[in-house]
Amino acid sequence: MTNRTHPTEDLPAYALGCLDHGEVKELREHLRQCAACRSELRAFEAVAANLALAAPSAEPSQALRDRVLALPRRQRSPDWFVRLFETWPRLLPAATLAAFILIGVLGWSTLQLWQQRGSVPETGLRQMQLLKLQGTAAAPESSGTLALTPGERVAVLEVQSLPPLDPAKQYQLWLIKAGRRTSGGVFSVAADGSARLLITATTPLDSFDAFGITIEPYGGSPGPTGQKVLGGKLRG
Amino acid sequence: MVAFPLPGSEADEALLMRIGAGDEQAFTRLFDRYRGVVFGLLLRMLANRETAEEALMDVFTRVWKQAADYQLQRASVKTWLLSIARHRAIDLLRMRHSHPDQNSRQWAEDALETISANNDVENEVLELDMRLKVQKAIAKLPQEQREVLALAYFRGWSHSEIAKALNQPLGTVKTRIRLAMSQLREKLEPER
Repeated sequence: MTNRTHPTEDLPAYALGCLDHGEVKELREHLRQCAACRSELRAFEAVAANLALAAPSAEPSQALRDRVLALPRRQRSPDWFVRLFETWPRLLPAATLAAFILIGVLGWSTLQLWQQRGSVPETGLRQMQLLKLQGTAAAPESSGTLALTPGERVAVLEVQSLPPLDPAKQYQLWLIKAGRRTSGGVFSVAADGSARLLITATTPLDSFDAFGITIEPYGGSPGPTGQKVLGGKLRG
Repeated sequence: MVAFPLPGSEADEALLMRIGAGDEQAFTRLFDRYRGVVFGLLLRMLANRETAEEALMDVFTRVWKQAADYQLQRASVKTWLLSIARHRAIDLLRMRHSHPDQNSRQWAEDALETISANNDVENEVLELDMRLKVQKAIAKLPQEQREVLALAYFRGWSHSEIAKALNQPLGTVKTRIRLAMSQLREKLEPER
C-alpha cells in the first residue's frame, strides 16, 4: 500500500523506469517538493545502476573507440573548417603569408600615422617589465615570469617546473594590492610542469603590488586556501 | 566491502568537470574506465553488436556535450552514465517493437569476465568486486522477482506491460519489483 504522504513504495519502480505513465506524473510532482523522497530515489537509482554489472563486460571494437575519442575534435570544428584543411592544404601556407603581409602593412601604416601626429606611444616592448616569480618551500624547483606592460590590463605568465596536480586541483594566480587578493585565473600545467597563459584584469596589471600562485580546488576559490608555490613583488 | 567506483568518487567527478571544460584527456580516461561495463549493458539489452556500438557512440556523445551540466547532488557519475546508456537502449528497443524472449527474463549465469586490457587496474579490481556482489545478491532473489526485474531492467517495460506479458496481476508485479529492489538495496548499498 502506498503512503499517501510519501509514496516511497513507488520509488524503486520509478528508479527502474517501469512505473505506468499516470503514476509517473504524480510521483514527479511529489519529488519536486520532497527532499527526503529525492534522497531515497537516489539510493534506488544507484541500485539500478549497479544492475548493469549483472551483464558481462564487453569490449567495443578499436574502430569504435577511435570514433568516440575523435568526438571532441569533431564537435569543435565546423564541417566547413575541417573540409578546408583536409581538401585544400596548399592554401594554408599562402594564407599565413598573406596574414603576415597584412600585419606588416598595418603596422607600417600605424607608425606613419603616429609620426604624422607627432607622437609615438610610449608604451611598447621597450617598456615591458619582466617580473620573476620565485618558488616557495612547497615548490622550490619552480619558477615563473610575468611579462607586463605599464598601463596595460593584459600580461603573459609563464611558469616552469610546477608539479602536475591531482585532477581535483588547479593552480590559481592571485593579484595582490594593499593586502587584498583578486583571482587572476586558474590553470593546469603540462606534464613537464610548464604553462603559458594570457592574463587579463579589470585594471592595469602594474597597479598591483605583488602576485602569487597557490594550489586550490579545481575551478578555483574565492580566496587563497592552499599552499603558495610561486610569488613575486612588483613593489614594496 | 568497497563499491565500484566509490560513490561520489572524486576521480570520476574531477574527470567529468574537466570534460565539461573541454579536456579531451579526461574524456579518454572516462571512456576507457567505463567502456566495458557500458558496452556490456548495451550488448546485453540490444543483443546486436553493431547497434550496441552505435548506442555507445550516442552515450558518449551525450557525455561530451552535457558534462558541463552534470550535477553531483543528483547522482554519481556512474549512475548518470549507466542511466544514459540504459535509456538509450530502451529507446532503441521501443523503436524495434521487440517482444520478450527467454534471454530477456534471465540474468547472466556468469557475468564475471577477466580483467580487460586497461591501464585503470584499481578500478578494474573494484568493478570485479562489485560484480560478484551484484551477482550474489540477484541469485538470492526468488525466481519470480528475478524474472520481473529482468524484464523491467533489460527491456524497459512498465508494470502493465510486464503483467500483460506474464499474464499476472498488476499488483503482484508491482510488489515483486518493489521487494526485489529493496532487497538489492540492502545488499548493495555501501557500508556506512
